[in-house]
Amino acid sequence: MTIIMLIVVITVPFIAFDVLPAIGDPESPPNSHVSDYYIEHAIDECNSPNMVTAVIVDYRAFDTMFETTVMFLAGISVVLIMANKPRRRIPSPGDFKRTRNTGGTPIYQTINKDVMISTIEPLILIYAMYVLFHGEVSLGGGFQAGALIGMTYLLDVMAVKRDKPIMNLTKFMSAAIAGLGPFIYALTGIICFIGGGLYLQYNKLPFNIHEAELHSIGITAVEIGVTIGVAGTIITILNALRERISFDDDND
Amino acid sequence: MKENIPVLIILLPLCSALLCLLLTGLHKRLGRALVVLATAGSLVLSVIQLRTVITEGTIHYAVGGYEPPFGIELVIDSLNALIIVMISIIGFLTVLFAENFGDDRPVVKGSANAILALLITGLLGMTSTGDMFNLYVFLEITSLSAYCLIAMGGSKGVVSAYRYMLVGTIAATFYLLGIGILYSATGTLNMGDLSAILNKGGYDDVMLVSMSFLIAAFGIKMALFPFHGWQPSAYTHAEPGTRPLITGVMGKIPALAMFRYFYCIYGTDYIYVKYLLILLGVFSVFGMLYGSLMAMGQSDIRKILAYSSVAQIGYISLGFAIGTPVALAGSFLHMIGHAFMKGGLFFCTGAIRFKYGTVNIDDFGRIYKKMPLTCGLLVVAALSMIGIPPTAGFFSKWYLALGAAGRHEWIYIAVLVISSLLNAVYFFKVIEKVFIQQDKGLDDKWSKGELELPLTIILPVVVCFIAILGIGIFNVKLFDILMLTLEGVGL
Amino acid sequence: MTLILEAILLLGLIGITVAIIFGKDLMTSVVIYCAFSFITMFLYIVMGAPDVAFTEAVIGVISTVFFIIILRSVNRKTK
Repeated sequence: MTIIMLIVVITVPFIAFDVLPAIGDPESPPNSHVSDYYIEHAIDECNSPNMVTAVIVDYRAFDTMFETTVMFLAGISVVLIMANKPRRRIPSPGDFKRTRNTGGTPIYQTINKDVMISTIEPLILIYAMYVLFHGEVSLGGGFQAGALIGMTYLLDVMAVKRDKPIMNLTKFMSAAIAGLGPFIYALTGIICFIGGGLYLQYNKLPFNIHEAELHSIGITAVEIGVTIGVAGTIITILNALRERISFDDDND
Repeated sequence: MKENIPVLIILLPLCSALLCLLLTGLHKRLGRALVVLATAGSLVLSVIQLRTVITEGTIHYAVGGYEPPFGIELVIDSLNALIIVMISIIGFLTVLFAENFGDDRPVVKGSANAILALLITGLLGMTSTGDMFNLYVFLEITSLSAYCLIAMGGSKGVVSAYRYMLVGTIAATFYLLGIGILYSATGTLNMGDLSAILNKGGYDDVMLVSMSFLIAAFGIKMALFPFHGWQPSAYTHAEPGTRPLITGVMGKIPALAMFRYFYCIYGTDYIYVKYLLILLGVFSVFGMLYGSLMAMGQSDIRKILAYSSVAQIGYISLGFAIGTPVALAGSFLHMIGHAFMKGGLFFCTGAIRFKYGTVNIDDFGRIYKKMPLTCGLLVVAALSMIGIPPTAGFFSKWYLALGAAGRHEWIYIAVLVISSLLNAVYFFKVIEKVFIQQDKGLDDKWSKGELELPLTIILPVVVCFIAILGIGIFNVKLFDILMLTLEGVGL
Repeated sequence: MTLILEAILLLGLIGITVAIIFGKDLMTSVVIYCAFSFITMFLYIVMGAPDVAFTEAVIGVISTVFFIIILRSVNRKTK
């Protein structure tokens, strides 16, 4: 049965995918029908040289809002499914065979990892801010910046031995913060109603600035919302896991 | 402001879901109050939108001010508007109903209400959109919310949700492959633009390959006959407060999306249309017979209703397989009626479980003396599922049979009659146990006040009762509204 | 030239997937999953999408850490 399925799965794509065009063909329909419009008009309509950001946050901004909501939904699902108290795990005799290591101290000392990680963390955060605000002109954008901020929190909590953590969030608080991210995104669209435009029409934001700058303000506000959403989700999942799983080098 | 109603209907539940957890941290009841207000507002706006569409015609709303195909647009015609009203009503009733079940801790209450509101957002969005990739995003939101709500139902719920998640992810992948092939052949993601390009001809192979992927994807999501394996256990073990929304509505909206792809985008001038219709017909016939036969042998009422859902989806896809406008109108009327029928039946079983704590029908003896309103809805909904006038079920089956007779498909009419008789067997068994069997003397878990149940359970029961009778009596008006869209579509 | 590079990367991806499925210890599968994410990142660069490659690099690290945290509390040997 498995062999039949494997044969089907391997040979059907060779027959069925003959209809696809070659990669990089400049005459094929995806590269010429709608993309020409995007390439010609991205800079003067959206004020952003990075066309990927222009397409995902300006032309198809409605999709990105719901993608960020999907991330928030994943975070809340982990909170909800792991909300019960865990059953006591009976340790099997094989668990005690490892040599016990007192927490945080490596076997041989070369560099003090606590100092090293504590020095790098602010640099990662500064890089995350750089990636967020330069999303329009170079690589980056909201998702990458949020993931970097989440990774900093993860590094600080898991790898450094502290008596009291710097920021002690429960999963409930971090899930609430993760919900604020997509809400800022939706709020940017609702503010556009006040200026008289349709939803997420950045031309009609009610500020008194030149029209091209309005697009930049709209894109930056939206990216900040995405960043808060992604960072909040990663912190939420981490806290939900940590509240249920204890490590053998915790000092309690 | 009035022209922004299509977006506001989707935005209100979304914003309430995002703020719900924050407000639950402040005070325990605040988050749920916000969700109730938002779904009520969405209901009012959807009725206004229905009236606008009937008087003025189809609404096109371009998000962001960019004209399609360069931006995303929302397309709302009379069919969509009617189904949006249905989703709003059942969503509002379920949010009221779900308060009585579940844990009392703020974390669980806030998260459960947020996920319920996000499920309503996903369903509303999937109906309104006119863009292929936007449909995928809303499909993902609906599926993820459903996995989580099913997994809240205890340890058996987690296993069912895991199985549903594996199958559902494969379905989403097939859908992406299907629209990827269509995009690489035509270069556009907008549904109206796509149908204009495909009707010029020359794309037959592309359309056949992508249609196979799309039928597989939507078949898994709506639990059409060979792909239905995840459905009975998922519907049985879901969280009892949210079950009416999941079972009544969530399986039907992918059927609406399949109708959009099959009839509105592809059209019926396509050479392979005959074979695809025969394939759909075979699936529907076997689904109807299998669902009814499996439901006859169960003694847990949730499993009876879950297996009968497999049969009811068979009715809806039978309407697609017949293809005339009358049959299509019959299948959409069945979709709307079935949401209230199946939702009403699950409201009843949830109420019985809330009061007595049992779901086995052998224990249901003489409940009608203590819970008259609930048993009234049980009887009316059961009669409607069998197809007895003047309830809603009879008229939808009548239109289906009318459409089948117009195309001389006698096999479909025979299977309709046989499966209605099989439905009668197990629903009359339930009614007999409620009215005739001896009282088992179950102890009462909730008995304050004169009403038999709290107000948040009585209100959905009464509304579903009125709706089933109302759809039956006013069915000609609904048929006219549906035919505004379905006039030129179909064979 | 691009074709040869893509072919090597894709064949390596198939080999890694076979190793993930047939590994006896779950920790082995998780570490090899990190290598899978890494090679996928190279594929995205070759296909011309540097934004996506950047995101994949960060998310690969984070998801591997989540898997290793979960593996602490479940039975690690597959039968």
